[in-house]
Amino acid sequence: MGFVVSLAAGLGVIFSAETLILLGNGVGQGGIWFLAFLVAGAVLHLFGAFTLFANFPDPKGETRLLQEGLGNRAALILPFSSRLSFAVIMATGSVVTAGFVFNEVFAYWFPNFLFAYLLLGLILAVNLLGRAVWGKFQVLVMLTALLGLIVLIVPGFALTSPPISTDYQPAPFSSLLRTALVALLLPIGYDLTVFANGESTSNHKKSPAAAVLLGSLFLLLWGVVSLHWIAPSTLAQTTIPYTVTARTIMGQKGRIIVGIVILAGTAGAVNALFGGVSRMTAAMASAGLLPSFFGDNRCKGRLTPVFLTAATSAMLFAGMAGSSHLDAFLRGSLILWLFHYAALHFAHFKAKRGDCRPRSRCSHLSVSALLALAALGLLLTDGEKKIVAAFLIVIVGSVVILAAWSTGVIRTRRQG
Amino acid sequence: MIRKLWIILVVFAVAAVAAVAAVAEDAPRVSKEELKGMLDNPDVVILDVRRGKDWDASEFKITGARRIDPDQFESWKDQLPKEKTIVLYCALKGEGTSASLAQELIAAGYTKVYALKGGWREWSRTQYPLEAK
Repeated sequence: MGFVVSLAAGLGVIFSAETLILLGNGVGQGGIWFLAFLVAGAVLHLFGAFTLFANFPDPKGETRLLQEGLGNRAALILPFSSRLSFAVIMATGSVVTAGFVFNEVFAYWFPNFLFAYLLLGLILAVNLLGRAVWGKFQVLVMLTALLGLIVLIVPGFALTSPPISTDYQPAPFSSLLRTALVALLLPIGYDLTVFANGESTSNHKKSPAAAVLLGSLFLLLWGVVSLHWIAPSTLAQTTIPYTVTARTIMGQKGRIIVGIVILAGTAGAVNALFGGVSRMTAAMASAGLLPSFFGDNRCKGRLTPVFLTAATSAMLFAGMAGSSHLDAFLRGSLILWLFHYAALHFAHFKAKRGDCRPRSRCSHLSVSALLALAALGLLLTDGEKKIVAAFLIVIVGSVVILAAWSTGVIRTRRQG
Repeated sequence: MIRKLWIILVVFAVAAVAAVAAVAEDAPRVSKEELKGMLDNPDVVILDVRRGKDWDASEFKITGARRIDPDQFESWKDQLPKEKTIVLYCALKGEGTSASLAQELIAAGYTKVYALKGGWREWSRTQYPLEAK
């Protein structure tokens, strides 16, 4: 069961509505090239899954590696700015999307915003009820999302598609570069597997790689089906590529099935992020990077999910769901997460100076440089790069302040 | 000192909300029933100005509505037919976006401009005519 829970946690973000939108738009813009980039990106992430995350014996492994390789400040700032910002922003966008899907597909009379808050409340409750409930819920929702996708993919291949307009124009190099970089973002979140099994030492050895493989395989199949049924120009422009594809393949039944996939995928993504970030902060607290009240012993790890829910609710209440900038912020937090992977590879390179296998260290350095360049490329090729850059400055700046505060609190307590 | 800061913050917030509400209040409104009666009228232009996820995550729009980006006002403000009735709708409570854009269109010389009262939420909840985006 441990492996399944860990795998389900790693698939949460990969099967979310936000990833399916990136996939649909990317396939529309890059066509078959995008799918090739997706495979290449999966191979790159597999390297990280096998050589980094598979070697972390417990949730504290990542913190230890960053401490060894890059120091205490980096060990706090990097994971916090990437995963924490992504958790809040993605949760805001995802629960709103889920609210619309529930309202438009299942119950038109039910207010979409109320559904968004109820879903958020349910996920908070699941996180507060303990790890066993959290794990069972995660497996249930991811299994539902996976089955839903299978039910859509099979007829997508088996049925004969109507003739679609072949309006695909080869993209210019600059936009092809952008699609290649976006493809690299799709398997992000597979590392949440590490935080799913507490102190277990063996369950999640293979789960990071399994999450990358299974997630990328399903995204690839769904991408092929989308390209087979929908004109690329439509896929590139629509804000709901998953619904457009499902509706074309199976009509009203397709809308219902994809609605279930989005609801389950949203619950899985937010639950995996809230649970993962909670265990990440607990690991940081036990490593002396955060005050002990973030840890598992005090408050039983409840502080972080409550904080994440409060922050997401505040974003919803402030009208962020209706803000044109939310997508730019989401892209910004994905860039931070990609940069976090780059930093982990670099930390491994620095920490293992005494490693007798220089080729292994060089591989980590190369992958680190590649991922850092990709993160920079994503920022520079973004249509709203000023907004994304401002977001990055605010988030990283806030976390630096938090790090200074945290160091002060810990020092005061030790002296006390 | 902290108390003073709080007072300034609250006064500022109330003033900001009041200013937004005042701008939104001034724009003329049309009810969903009235708009439903105008759906087949060729002299009526319906504009969907929902923002962010309110537009992105939705599968539908009001039948016959044209999608325009509310953040690109300068690019489309002179391209609408001035002799026609223009109805804008958004998803915000109090018609924040549609009412303020309606005000700006009136300032730009349009005469028959309205915001849909209750906006997208009221329309979709009543199950009035919709079409896929």
